[in-house]
Amino acid sequence: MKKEVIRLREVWVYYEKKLALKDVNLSVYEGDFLGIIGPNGGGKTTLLKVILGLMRPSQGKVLVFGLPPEKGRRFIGYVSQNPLFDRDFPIDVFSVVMMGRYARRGLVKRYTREDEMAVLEALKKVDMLDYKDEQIGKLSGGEQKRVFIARALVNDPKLLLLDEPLANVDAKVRGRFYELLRDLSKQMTIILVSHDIGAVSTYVKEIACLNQVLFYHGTKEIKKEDLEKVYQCPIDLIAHGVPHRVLREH
Amino acid sequence: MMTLLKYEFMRNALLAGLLASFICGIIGVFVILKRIVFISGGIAHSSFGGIGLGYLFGLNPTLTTLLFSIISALSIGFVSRRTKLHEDTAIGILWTVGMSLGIVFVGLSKGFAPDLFGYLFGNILAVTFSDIVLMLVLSIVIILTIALFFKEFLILSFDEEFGGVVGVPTETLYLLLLSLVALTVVILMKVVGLVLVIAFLTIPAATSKFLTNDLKKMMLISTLLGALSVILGLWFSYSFDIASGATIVLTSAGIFLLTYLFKNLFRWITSF
Repeated sequence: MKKEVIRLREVWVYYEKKLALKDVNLSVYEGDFLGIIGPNGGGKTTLLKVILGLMRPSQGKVLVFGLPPEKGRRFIGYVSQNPLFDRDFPIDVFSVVMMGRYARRGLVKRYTREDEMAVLEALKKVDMLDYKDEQIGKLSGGEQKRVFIARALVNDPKLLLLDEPLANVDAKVRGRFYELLRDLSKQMTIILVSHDIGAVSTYVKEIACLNQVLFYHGTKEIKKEDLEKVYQCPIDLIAHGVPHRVLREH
Repeated sequence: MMTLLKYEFMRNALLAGLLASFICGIIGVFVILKRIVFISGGIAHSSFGGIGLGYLFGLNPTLTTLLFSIISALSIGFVSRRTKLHEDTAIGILWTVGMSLGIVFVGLSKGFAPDLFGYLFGNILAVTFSDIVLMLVLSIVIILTIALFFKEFLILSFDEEFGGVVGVPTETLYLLLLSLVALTVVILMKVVGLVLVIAFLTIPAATSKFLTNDLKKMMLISTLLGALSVILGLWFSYSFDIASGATIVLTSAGIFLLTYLFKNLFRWITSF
C-alpha cells in the first residue's frame, strides 16, 4: 500500500461568503503525478492554499503527510502561479532560491554553507546554474519559472505543488519544461493545477477536474459528463492517439 | 561652506541631515520595494496628532509624536490587513483623522504654538543637540532591527505569500516594518517636516534603484544621494534664504530627474 500524502475529507471553503470548494474529497499517494484541471475561478488556487495551510477550510479535514497543513507543509515545495514581484527588484537568482531555505533556518538565524550548497544543487537540477548571479527580473518567463521551481526544490520536498506552471512560459520551451517535471516526478509526488486540459493531460499520470466540486477517480481518465459538469458547457475532447488518450474509448 | 560650519546650529543641521540620509537610505529601500510609500505618507501625516498632543499637555512634542506615529503605523497596518477595507481607504481615513486630531489638540491648548510650522515643514537649523541624541538612539534601534531581520524583510518585500509558506511571520514583520517607518518619521520630522517626510523616504531610494541591481549597494547609494541632497539643499537654503526642508526635497528631486534623464540618454546612446 502506497503512503497517503494528501488527504482531504469533506472540505468546504467559503471565500468572502462565496462558495469556493464544495465537499471536496481527495487522496494523493506517494509517487502520483496529478494534474488538476478546471476553469479559472473554479477553486484550483484555493485548493492549493488549503493544502499549504494558507487558508483554513470552513469545514472538513485536511492532512498533509498525516499532519495538519501548517506542520506538514515543511515537506512541500510550492511554486505559485505568478509571484507578484517587481521586475526591477534588486535581487539575484541565487538569493531568490535561498529564500526556500528559510524553512530550515527560521527567524534571525543566518544561512549556512550547507544552504549555499543546496541552492547550487537545486539550480543545477533545473539547469539554471549559469544564471545564478543574474537579476531575476532580467530572465524570460520560462527561466524565472525554473528559478522558482529551484526555490521549491531547495528543501528536498517530498511533494511539489505547482500553480499554473505554464503561465508566462513560451510555447517553444513548454515541451522541455514538462520533461523537467516528468524527471522530477520520478523523485517526488507532484500536483499541478492548470486550466489548460490538452497540455496537462499529455504528461501527468492522474487527472482530476475541479469547479467547486472535485471529480477524481484516481486515474488519468476523465468522464465526458464530469468534464461538462466542471466546465458547464459541452466540451470537445481531442484524444491524441493511444498514449495520450484522456477519454475512455466510446 | 566651511565658514558656515563654525556655527553650532549649522553643524547640528548637517549632522541631523546626514543621520536622516543614512536611515532613509536603509528604510527607504524597503519602503520602495514593499510599495508602502503611501502607507508611510499616512503614518507621517497622522503623526501630526502627536505634535498637537504635546502642545496640549505641555510635553515634549518629539516624544508624543514618537508614541503617536507608532500607534498610527500599527493602526494603518492592522486595519489594512485585518478588515475588508481597501488599504488606500484605510490610509485616507487614518491620514486625515490623525491630522485633524492634531489641529483640534493645538486649538484646545491655551498657549501659542511657536514652532508648529517647523514641525510641519521642517526647520533643520533649529535642531538641538538633544534632538541629535534622540535621533541617534532611534537610528541605532532601526539599524539593529534591520540587521537582525534582514533576510525576513527581504522575503517579505519580494514575495510575501511564499514567505508565509516557508514560515516567515509575515504579518508581524509587516507591522514591525511600519513601526520602523514610524521611528524614521520622527527622525525626519525636524529635518524636512512631517509634510515632506515621504519625499525623503522615497526619492533617494527610487533614484538609487536606477543605478544598481544589488540591494545592499542600493542602500549605500541611496544614503549617499540623501547626504548630497542635504548638503546641497542646505547650501541653497542659506544662499537664497529659502526654507531648508523644501530646498532639500527639491534638490533630491532634481537629482532624481537628472539620473533618470542620464540613464535613458545612456541607454539610447548604447542602443546604436
